[in-house]
Amino acid sequence: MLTISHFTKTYHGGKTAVDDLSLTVESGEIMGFIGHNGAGKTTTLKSVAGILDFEQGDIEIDGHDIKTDAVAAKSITAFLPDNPDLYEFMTGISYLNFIADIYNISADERTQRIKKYSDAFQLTGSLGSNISSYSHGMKQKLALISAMIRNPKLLILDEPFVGLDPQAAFTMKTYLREICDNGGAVIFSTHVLEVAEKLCDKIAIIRGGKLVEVGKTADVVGKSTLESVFLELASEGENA
Amino acid sequence: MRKLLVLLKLNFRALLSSFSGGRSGKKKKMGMLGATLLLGGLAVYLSVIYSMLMGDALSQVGLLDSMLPLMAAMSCVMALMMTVFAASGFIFGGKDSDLMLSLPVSPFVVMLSKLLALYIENLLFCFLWMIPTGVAYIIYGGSLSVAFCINLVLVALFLPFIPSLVGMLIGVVISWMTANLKKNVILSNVVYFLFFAVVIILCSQVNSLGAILIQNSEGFNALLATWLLPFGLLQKALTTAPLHIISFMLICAVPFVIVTYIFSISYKKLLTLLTSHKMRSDYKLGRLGAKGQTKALVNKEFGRYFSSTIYVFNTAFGTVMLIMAAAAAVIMRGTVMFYVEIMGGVTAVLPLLATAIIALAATVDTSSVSISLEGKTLWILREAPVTPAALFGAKALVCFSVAMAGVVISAVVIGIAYGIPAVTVISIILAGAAISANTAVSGLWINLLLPKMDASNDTVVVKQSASAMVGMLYGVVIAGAGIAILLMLNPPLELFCIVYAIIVTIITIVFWRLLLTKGYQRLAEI
Repeated sequence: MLTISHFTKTYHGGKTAVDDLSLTVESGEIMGFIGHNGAGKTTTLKSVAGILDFEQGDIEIDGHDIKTDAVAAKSITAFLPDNPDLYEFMTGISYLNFIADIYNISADERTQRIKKYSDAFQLTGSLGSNISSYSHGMKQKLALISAMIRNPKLLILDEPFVGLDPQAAFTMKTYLREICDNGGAVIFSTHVLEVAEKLCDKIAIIRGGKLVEVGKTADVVGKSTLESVFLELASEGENA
Repeated sequence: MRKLLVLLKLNFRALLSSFSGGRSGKKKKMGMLGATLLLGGLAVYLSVIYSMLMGDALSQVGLLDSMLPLMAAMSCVMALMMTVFAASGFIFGGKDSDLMLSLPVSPFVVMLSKLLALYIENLLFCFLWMIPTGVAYIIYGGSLSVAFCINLVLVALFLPFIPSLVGMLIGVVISWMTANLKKNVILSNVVYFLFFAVVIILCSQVNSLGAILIQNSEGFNALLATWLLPFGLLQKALTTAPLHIISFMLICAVPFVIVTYIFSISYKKLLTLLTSHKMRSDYKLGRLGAKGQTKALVNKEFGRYFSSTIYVFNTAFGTVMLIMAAAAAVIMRGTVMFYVEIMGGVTAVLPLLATAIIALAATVDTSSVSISLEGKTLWILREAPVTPAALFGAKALVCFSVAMAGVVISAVVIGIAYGIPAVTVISIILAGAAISANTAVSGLWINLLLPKMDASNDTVVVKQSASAMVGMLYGVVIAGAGIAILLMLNPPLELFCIVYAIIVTIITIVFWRLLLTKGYQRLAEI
């Protein structure tokens, strides 16, 4: 579903945020993308979502190159940033309707999907209010609903658990698995290692812009815990 | 005191950096320096022109001393016009309010630091305005003395307290309206335009102030002793009674400090009142309609446009003026016809009509700030599966539509009212359409080159960003070039309009092609 080959991103000023990163996420898989602050997680996820331009490497989503076939790639993808800034001049429902229009979702389907997800995230009653009046968590839920109603083949989430209440976090985890069961794939970054360990089929660990570990969760963790593995890799990086 | 200075430095840099287009390092400093020079240069330029004109006229009728309060009042109005919207956004709409209030400093210091930053911006303008005024006063026969020089400097230092105070008071009203009239955007915009109309009327009166003063100098002196007392004290301090400078300084500074203190007592309450939003939790989901991608993007752009009064207010000026001019031309047809006949009849003034429509259409530039106004929500459009043409086209369409409303209404209404041939009306509309499309497309390019994505509020982007200024200048150049040819060479109007429309359209097409390729790449780099 997602193939990243030799991806390198260098910012203006010469800082290489990600260096020669390659990984794949197959259909039906949830991949956890973990690393320190500034390791290159967000840069990678934003580049996959087609938000950031990059110079070297290739990113393909279900066979569509994000650079040369961006519209096709984006139409099967949904991205949720760590701090979703939404159109504050819109109401919640007008924002969802806008997203549904952009993704060409039919009237019946959008009504059904919005009802399903907004009920699940307990946001239906607030959809008539302006987004400017929403709390951070409500905006997070709205952005999540706007991602889910697209029925994406690839869902990209940057720190999705930040700001969500436990009920919403549980609901979200259920829907992430549902996407995979329907043949889609999920990649998300997180600092909550326990969640990553329990939820993810695959784990990728990035340090200083380089991928240092990737594989099935069971293989990466072994008999230890993800936290131990992560800290071990981190200390190796410091000593290197 | 140290805390105040630290916050003042921070706030003043924030005010100036809004000109710098979100760049960093040397370029940012250059942007700030450029903005300062632009503001200062504008003050000196306008002051020299008005001072010399007024000095010449008033010295001939023995009223030269009146020039000083008049020019001081003008500097206040000008400074107010430039900072009034910044005041609302900067003092009450800044996203740094939470951070500021969490610091271990009193609300009085926070508010004073913000107001003093605004004062320094006004000081730059007023100081550079009053110095040429003083020089012109001496040139036209005013008495030069040490007391005059010292008092002139003191006047220039204390005068900016007046526009800063008035700007803050208006800022409270604007912030409240922005926060509370969102549901009634039309009402909000109407209130804005009424305020604007009052400012325009005041400014237009400034040009004829000299004549009014000559006819009614006693009435003017009475005003200086009552409503315009600060300016009366200023006049006395600079002419007959230098010690009045103390009263002038007090009357400028004391209300500023008192009002700042009063507002700071309830700064937190005020911020809460101004920024609180109503929220309901009883929404019932019904069947939703589908619009399609293009219509959704266009609707979103119009929604964004009309959600921001400051955005509408600053970019629909040309359209409003054209519609008002058309209404006035119909209502006051008799008076207008009198002047038209003096100028040689309807045919003779048609180039002026075309000039007005082209010039005002070029001022309708919503595009040059529309990408900056996306701010942190730009990720939504970047992530969306939309083509560059749909993305940029929706933004350009808003600009084009707003401009064309004024172009079409004014040309058709005036055309019918004054019996202008249809061919002439259509050719003028074509020229207006061409310049409107050009502004719409070029504005996007300008914004891509000079983005300001981290602005704390809309005011900073719309009023102070580099792209807004460059967009305005570009409009002056592209419209000015055509107008200069029309007025200097006096070609057949219809031919001129069509040729001008073709040339401008070619430029627009080039911009559009670039926008779809390089422009889209640039969007990804912002």
